[in-house]
This record gives sequence, structure tokens and C-alpha cells, in this order.
Amino acid sequence: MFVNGPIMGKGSGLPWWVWCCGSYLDLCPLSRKVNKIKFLGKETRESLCCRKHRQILCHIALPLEHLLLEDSRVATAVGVEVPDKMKSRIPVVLLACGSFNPITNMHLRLFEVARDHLHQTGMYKVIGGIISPVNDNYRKKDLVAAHHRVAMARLALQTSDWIRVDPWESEQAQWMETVKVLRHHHSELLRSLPQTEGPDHGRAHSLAPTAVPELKLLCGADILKTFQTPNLWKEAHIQEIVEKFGMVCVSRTGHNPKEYISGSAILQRYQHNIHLVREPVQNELSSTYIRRALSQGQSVKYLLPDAVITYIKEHNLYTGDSS
Amino acid sequence: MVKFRNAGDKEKISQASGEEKYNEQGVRVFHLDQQLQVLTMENSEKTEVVLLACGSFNPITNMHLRLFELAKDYMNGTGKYRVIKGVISPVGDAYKKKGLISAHHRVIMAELATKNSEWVEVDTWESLQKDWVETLKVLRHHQEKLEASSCDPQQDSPRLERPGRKRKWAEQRQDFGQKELLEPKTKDVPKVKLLCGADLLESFGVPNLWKREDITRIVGDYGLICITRAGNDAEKFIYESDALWKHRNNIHLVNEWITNDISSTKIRRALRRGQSIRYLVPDLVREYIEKHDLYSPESEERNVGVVLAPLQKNTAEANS
Repeated sequence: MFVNGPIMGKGSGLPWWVWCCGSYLDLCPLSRKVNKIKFLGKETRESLCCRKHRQILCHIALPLEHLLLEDSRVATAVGVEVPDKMKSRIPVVLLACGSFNPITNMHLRLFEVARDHLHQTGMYKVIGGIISPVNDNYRKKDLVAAHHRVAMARLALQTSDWIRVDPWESEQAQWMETVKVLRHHHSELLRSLPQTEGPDHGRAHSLAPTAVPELKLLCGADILKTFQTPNLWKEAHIQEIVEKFGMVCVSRTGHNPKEYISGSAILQRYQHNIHLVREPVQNELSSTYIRRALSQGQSVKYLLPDAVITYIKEHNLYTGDSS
Repeated sequence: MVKFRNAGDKEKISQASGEEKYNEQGVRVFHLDQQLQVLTMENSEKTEVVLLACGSFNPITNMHLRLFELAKDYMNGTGKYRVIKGVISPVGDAYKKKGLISAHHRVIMAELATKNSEWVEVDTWESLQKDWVETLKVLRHHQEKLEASSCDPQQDSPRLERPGRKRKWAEQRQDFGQKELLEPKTKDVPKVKLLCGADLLESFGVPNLWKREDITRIVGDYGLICITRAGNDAEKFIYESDALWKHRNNIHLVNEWITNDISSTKIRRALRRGQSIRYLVPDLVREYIEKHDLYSPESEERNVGVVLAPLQKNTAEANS
């Protein structure tokens, strides 16, 4: 379904690729492909481009005549300058630290939900995800060996084209604070920046030279609460996490993240850098539950990827025998 | 008086007889008739159960699939039942629910979802009927199908190979009488039971949605396994209904300790908004939806303004 808008024409001041062929085109930041825009809904004009990456590029509630291709901002038509926002979105990599003991569908959902949210703000494009299982020396109860947890995460991510597992943290000689893991991955990220963009439809699509990728800590909103636990986190580290990196916190039942933020001066100061995401599908699934179910011989199918379940059975993990 | 040494057996016994007497040594002892009852239970086949789930499955989600797993663990765990099969029966298009897409797609998605399951399968009978079929009739159809196939000595119903006490007993029985195993006629036919969530149980209260006699027959003749988070509400609902209360022994409430709120409605909403449904539905289902562009604001408008088939039918019959 395409719209031939008389308002959107050559003289409208919009980039050439917007009105090409009389229909709306847009650029998917992930695939770097120019796609035609589909308009869905009667009241809301949501343009969904590039089904593969499910990028929502503009979300506007306006009568059709006033439609303007500008991400997530309501604007009237003619006369308003449309900045080339698509290309100046900040690239983001999401880093999730945790035990992943074992990894579950809930962990994987965190990434999907966080990515959708960041894209819909119009300010970011998520270019990758990293799962970093914690070091064995964390000494959490029932923690199985790191190489198993890494292997399970790898199996779980076999079918994902943007999330990967990184064993660096688990391979260090000792446990390390989250902020150090962030620092490591951030420097790795900067080091691996692509120099040029691939062949595209014109220079309009090249990455703006100032768009440095950001690494954000992805976690459940309950982590915000743990900031209050005395001696669990260093104050300086909390500040560095929210100031230099940023957080994406996915809400879980029973937690009110806004409360945690307002209860802390540091978090309040950098709350613009703490993205609170509401997961519409309430899911109390946790690794603890999985471990208990497994030790009682109950089925965990459809709670974690089949490949992970097979691995657990083959290696006799979580059978309930004390380790 | 027989002393039972195996702790597990003792549990089963107390389930079966419900009456416990102790001698001076504190050992549980039983009267003769109770012993016979217990021995019969131990030696006979546990009641084989087929779980039947009816619904729109529009689309099927991981939550639907979890219902089966939870129900099987529960029923097998009682020691009285053995779940041998799970059946997903998507409703026909004639149900006329809002947003219901073609049965053809829903059936394929359910089949993709159960591709990797050893015991859950999809049945298309209901979806192929021209008119909407009451749930009771679907239950009856499947029970009759089981009865028909159990007369055939060559049973091909899938059995779960589960090691444990049952197999030991089976092996011991072989010493006593090979004949028993060769005479399937003496074996009970598996029983079909309706598997559902609490929403279906509570929909019994919606006027004209269900026929009262149907509800009675479903819980009386077949049985209900209801997976619920809010066990108290479901119990209260049963308590407040004479028909359900009468057959409460045939209604099994299974507690879902973790909230797993993956409803098809939310999936469709997420799809309309371009949000990811990964890890909420099986990957094959997600790919199928994407490939065929199944859910959109247009598809959600289907059957708007049309009266739901059961409401139409029951109201018409009430007025006739």
C-alpha cells in the first residue's frame, strides 16, 4: 500500500529518496537497504520498513495529508525541516551480564524487547548484543562451570543474527566488576569500528562520522534495586555505568523501577541514560525456576531453547546433586 | 497383613484407600479388601490419558505448548494417570471470533510448533467441519476414535517409555501371566480429558456461551485439567457452581507457579506494532507468520460485528 502524496513532492525539501517513484522509501539502519514504506492502521500511521529487522521508522498519529517522514515526532507538513535523522541514529550494542545458569527464553527476550524500545525512541539503532556469563569465582550458589554456561548460551544464540556470547569475562582469573566488563567491551567495540560503509544509494546513507557506538548495560529492572544494597556496588562504578555507558532496564513484575531511580541521587541525575522498558508479556521465568524444575524431573520445554535442554541432559547438569 | 517396604508405594496406598491403621509397632497395616484394592491398582495399568486442547490458536504460542508440559507432569505425578498423547484441535473458521485467521494457517502453525514434540500432535477434524462444533462434540469424537482404535489388537498409540516402578511391575507381571498382555480387550481405553487455562473454566459463566448440559457432560464424562495461576479463584469458581462442584474430582487444577503471560492477543498486537515476538512462539511459527504476513490491522478486523457462533447457536435455540 503506497501513498502518493501531493504534499510530499520534489519541492518539499525532503531527501530525494523519500519521494522517489511517488511512494515513500526509507532506510533500514541494520540492513542498510532502502525499502518501500508500508502504512498500517487507520488512525496511526506507523511505517514499518524492512520486515526482517522490524524497524519502526516513524510513528505518527496524523491525518494522512499531514504525514511527514520523521521518526517518532509529530509534526505538521510543509514548512518543517526534516532532519536526516535516520542516518544520525546512535549505534548501540547491548551487553547483558549475569549468571545465565542456565540461559532461558526470558534472557533472550530482554534483548528483543530492549531493541524494539530503543528503535522506537527514534534515537538509536541497535547493532549488536553480547551475553557475558559471569566468572565461576563469583561463587554464586549452584553455579555450574563457566564453560557449560558459555556453551549453553552459544547453543541458544545459534539462530540469532545479532546477539552473540562473549566468554572473556568468564575466562578471567577472577571475578570482575561489571564496570570493568563494560570498559573492556567498549574498547573492543571502538577498535572494531568499520571504516567505510558498503555501496549504498548515495552518500546520504553513510554513517555520520561523529556517531560513535555506545555500549549499554542490559538488565532487568531489579538490578536498579540492587544498587541500594550496601557494599554490593561501588558508588563510583554506579556513576560510571549510568554516566559513561547507560542502562536499558526491562521491567519485571514486582519491581517499580521509577521508585529505585527517584530514591538515588546518582540515578536521578543520569535518568536520561537509564531507559526503562516495559515488557508487555509478563514473564516470571527465571533460571532458579528452571533449576528447580529440572531437579524435580519436570519438563522445561518451551522455556528455553531445545538445544540448551538437550545439552543439559547430555551433561547431567542441574540434577539436584549438590556440587 | 502385608507390610509395604517401598515408601513410594505407601503414598499410593494412602491415596487409594484413604484409611490408615497402625499396629503396635507403628507399621501401617491394611484390611484385606484394601490390600486387594491396592494390589489391583499397582498391577493394573494406570488410567491412560489423552490431553485435548481446543482453542483458536491464533497463533499458537509457547504458552499453549507449556500447558501440555505442565499438565503431563502433574497427571503423571499423581501416580494414577499416564499421559500418552496430547492433541491440539484448532477451532474452525465458523467460530467467527474477531481477528480469527483462516484455519488452514492456524493448523500449519500448530504443526510447525509441534514438529519437535514427541507426544503432542495436531488434529484437523474440528477445523475442517463446515459449522462450528461444540467442545463436547470434539471430546466425544476423540474418545470414540480412541475406542475404535483400541478394539484393534495392533495398537499404535504412542507410549512414552518411562523407566521406573511401573516397568518393574510390568516385568514382574510377565512372570505371572503373559496372557494378560496379549489381551488388549481387558485393558481400559485411554480417556480423553480437556486441557485448558483458567480463562476457559471461567468462560463457563458467560451467558449463552456454553450449554449447561454440555458443561455437565464435559466434567462428568470426560474431565478437565485446568492450568491456572490464580488457583484460589478457580477453586472458588468451582465451589460456586453446582455442576462443577459435583464433579470436582474430575477437575484437576494445576498451579502455574511462574506467570507466563504469552497470550495470542499480545502476539498479534506486537506484530501489528512491528515488535519482536521472538522466543514467545517457536521459531518456525514466527518465520511462517513473517513469510505469509498473517497478522495486520486488517486481519484483526475480521468478524467484527459478527456474533460468535456459540452465542448465535445457543441464543437461537433458547428462542426456538
